[in-house]
Amino acid sequence: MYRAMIGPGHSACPGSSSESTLMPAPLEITAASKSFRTPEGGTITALDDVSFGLDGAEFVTLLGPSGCGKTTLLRTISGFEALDHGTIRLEGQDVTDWPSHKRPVNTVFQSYALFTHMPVSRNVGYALEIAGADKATIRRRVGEMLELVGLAGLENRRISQLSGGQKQRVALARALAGRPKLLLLDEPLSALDKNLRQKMQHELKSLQRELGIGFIFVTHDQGEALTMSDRIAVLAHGRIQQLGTPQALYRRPANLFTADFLGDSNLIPLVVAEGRGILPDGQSFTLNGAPRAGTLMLRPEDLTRTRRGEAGLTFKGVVAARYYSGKDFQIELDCPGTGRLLAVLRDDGAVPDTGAELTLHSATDALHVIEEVQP
Amino acid sequence: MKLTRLLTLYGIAFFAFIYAPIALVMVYSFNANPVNMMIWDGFTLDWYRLIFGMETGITESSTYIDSTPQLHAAVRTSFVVAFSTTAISTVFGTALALAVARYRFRLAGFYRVLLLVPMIMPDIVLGIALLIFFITIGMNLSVLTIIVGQCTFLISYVFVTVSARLAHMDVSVEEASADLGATPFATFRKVTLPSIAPGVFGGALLAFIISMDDLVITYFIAGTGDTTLPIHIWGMLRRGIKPEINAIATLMLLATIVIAGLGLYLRSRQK
Amino acid sequence: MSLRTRRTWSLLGLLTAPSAFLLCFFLCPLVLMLIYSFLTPGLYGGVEWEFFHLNYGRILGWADTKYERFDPVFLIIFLRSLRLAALTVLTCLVISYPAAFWISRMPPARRNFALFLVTLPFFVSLIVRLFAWVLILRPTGFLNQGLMGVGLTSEPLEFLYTDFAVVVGMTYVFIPFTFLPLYASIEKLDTAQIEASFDLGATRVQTFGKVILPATLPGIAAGAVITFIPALGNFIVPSVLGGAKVVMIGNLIEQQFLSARNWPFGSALAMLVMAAVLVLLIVQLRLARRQDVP
Repeated sequence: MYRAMIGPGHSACPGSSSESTLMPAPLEITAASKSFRTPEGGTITALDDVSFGLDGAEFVTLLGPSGCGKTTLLRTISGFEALDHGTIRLEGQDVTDWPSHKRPVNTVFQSYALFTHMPVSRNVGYALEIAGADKATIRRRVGEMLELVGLAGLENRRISQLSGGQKQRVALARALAGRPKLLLLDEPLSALDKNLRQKMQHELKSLQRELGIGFIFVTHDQGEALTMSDRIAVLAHGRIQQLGTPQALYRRPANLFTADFLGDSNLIPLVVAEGRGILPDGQSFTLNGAPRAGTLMLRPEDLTRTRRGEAGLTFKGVVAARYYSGKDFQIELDCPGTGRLLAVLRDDGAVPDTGAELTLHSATDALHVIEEVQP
Repeated sequence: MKLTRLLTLYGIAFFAFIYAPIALVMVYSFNANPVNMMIWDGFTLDWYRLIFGMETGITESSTYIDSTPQLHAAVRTSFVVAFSTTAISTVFGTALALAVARYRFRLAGFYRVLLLVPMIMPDIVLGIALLIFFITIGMNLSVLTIIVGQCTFLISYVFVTVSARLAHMDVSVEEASADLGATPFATFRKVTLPSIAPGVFGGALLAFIISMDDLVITYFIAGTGDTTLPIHIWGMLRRGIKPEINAIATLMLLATIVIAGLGLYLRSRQK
Repeated sequence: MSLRTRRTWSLLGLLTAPSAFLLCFFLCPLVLMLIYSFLTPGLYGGVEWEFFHLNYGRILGWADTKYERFDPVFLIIFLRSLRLAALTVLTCLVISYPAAFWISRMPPARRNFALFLVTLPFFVSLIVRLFAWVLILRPTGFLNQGLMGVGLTSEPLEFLYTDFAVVVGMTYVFIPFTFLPLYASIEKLDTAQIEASFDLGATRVQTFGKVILPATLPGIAAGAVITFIPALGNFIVPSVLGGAKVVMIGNLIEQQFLSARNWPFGSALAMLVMAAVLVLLIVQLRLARRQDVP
């Protein structure tokens, strides 16, 4: 369905005969590996057997701390880095050995990478100029693109005369002008201030829906990832730790890294016996499945002062610290046996202060067990 | 503040030390006294007339060996050498700077050190090494050997200047160009070259000025018939101090200031 | 063609021609010079391709044959060159330091202009700049006339063809070399550091000794090395301002090549200079590295 909206200029991909009605995935990366030599003579593994793909016109975010390989992954898709092993397919076509100027994907760079010696119009029209389009076509397309990103009429501005937000939009317009099949965005919002960043997040998301092409967005900002993505791939140490919808990742992280990296969480070690998970303070609950050991994850907002339902866990302790954040309080609770817990309590005028005793409850459905033991 | 004042006074003295000798040469190039250059004997343009090969009112010209034709030949050789070396070293130096700045390869560090060496080693060593080399391989000393010899160290100056510019340039701009469909050559022409042009131009200017001024290396590898301007003046100095050197020096000074000023002006306009 | 092969080809395209040029006309000559320093000098100039170590023996002390004898004069000249180069470095540093400090505290526009003025003489012909000093230092020159004018001396003093003249000339010629690294290091110095030192009770002298000087030491070292090296091998300045009286190692080398025509011996002398340069660079590199590691 999204294919129809890409517009003319890109022929339909060949496709295999048996599945000619099925579109091949826009992007498919198989077993990609890449390592770098450090100046000291060591090697860094940036990508370690990564397989990854887009199913359709999705907004997928590559999320991870710096050095996790997310930017390298993006740069192998655009062709700036060569893979050591593995293949990259765009709409079924193997582009692993294609140089970046032949790949039908475009990038929005973190630094914007605008051509400062050209005016806005030549920046935006660059892809068409290179492709040999005639002047009238370029002018029309540049106009459309600037309109699309809300910069209509700025054709003749110099890059140095633009604000940060405007540069960002020019970079976006430039990357989209050549009708790429896939747009790659390398932390494009990191240089913007908070308000503008939020606005751009919403705009990018709606732009992606409007254009109907896949966006791959790289960020280390988990909030940004949760807000915009259809799916998120969490990366660490050159591997994809988990790939899924934002809700799935937040509620049911597959491993400790994801649980820790996405949002705040309380991680409590469990002992498993007879199908029950036993907490350090002796409480226990029924486990689904049969893990041999594990860690209980509790989100701070899942700890409440009132009990919901009969089953569930109860934590009694002393408030060690209390931080006010506007609509609610962040509480650090010292519980004997369990250790320090983090909770978020709505400011109803009765949140106890430091030193007071407090009992918190969590419902059974909020408990999530990760089959991994904290080191 | 007393200290600040003292520092300012010192600063003025510092600039006086740098510029007074140069100013002296310029002023005395107009001195009419042919015997003692330091005693002012009225204003004259005769020394300039002499070096341009015009009629002069110098009466004792018999005591001077008129070397004006050799001077003109030396100027011509200097220009031929400077233009050739500038062209070669600009191309080579820029290519090396691009390779070292934009590609990851094992020898990049080696090139960085290698290109520093000609700038820091005493030039007499390079001069004699080149002399030995040319003679051993049977190359006759000529304008060609001067050009080749000067290029060995001028490449370094271009390399350093262009590298500095490349270091300031965002690599992703080139990637953006490739990303948008430009072939490597198109990227070089439309993005890289316009961005590093001030560096390339600055490097070329530097190479030109240094080539025009090189004395030591050229001194060892110049053929007997091929004298550059600095070597010609060197020879004149060795034969005794003559007033027209003042005039030649003044003209060289003016040329340098014009070229350096031009470079600076272009650089300021880029920003 | 894979992405990596493509990149290798374009890298080779950039590197091949300049590398061949530098290999042929820069590295080969240097290696050849090293080889020459171990060859037998021919009787009437020229060389014989036989191993010979007495070129070094003549300088360093073990040559004792009829034709090739150790003569301490070479070492004396070398030591004098080291001394004169060191003196040049010292005067350059002393002259440049306050000036660099002064310029670094100027408002930016004026600062850039001042820097331009300091670097401009670097582009002015070396021979012209030296000629100016001949005019100044000659017996009938500016300095003597000035001194006699104020009555400090009744007859012209001998300035030209002395160590003094050579050091003055080299200082004048090499000042931009010292100044720029020094300036780079002084400019980086944060004014807040100086203010913090005053704030913590240090006097001006203490602040200079404990904060400013240590912080600018890398610049001092870099400026010193980059001045010392060309000063050590210089033969133009001593030729013009030192005449036959102040001979430096550079003059000796020139003589071996252009009048004595003993190229192997000249090469050995040049290797001596290179060895000194190398030692100096290694020491400086060590110091710089120690500065980096806290």
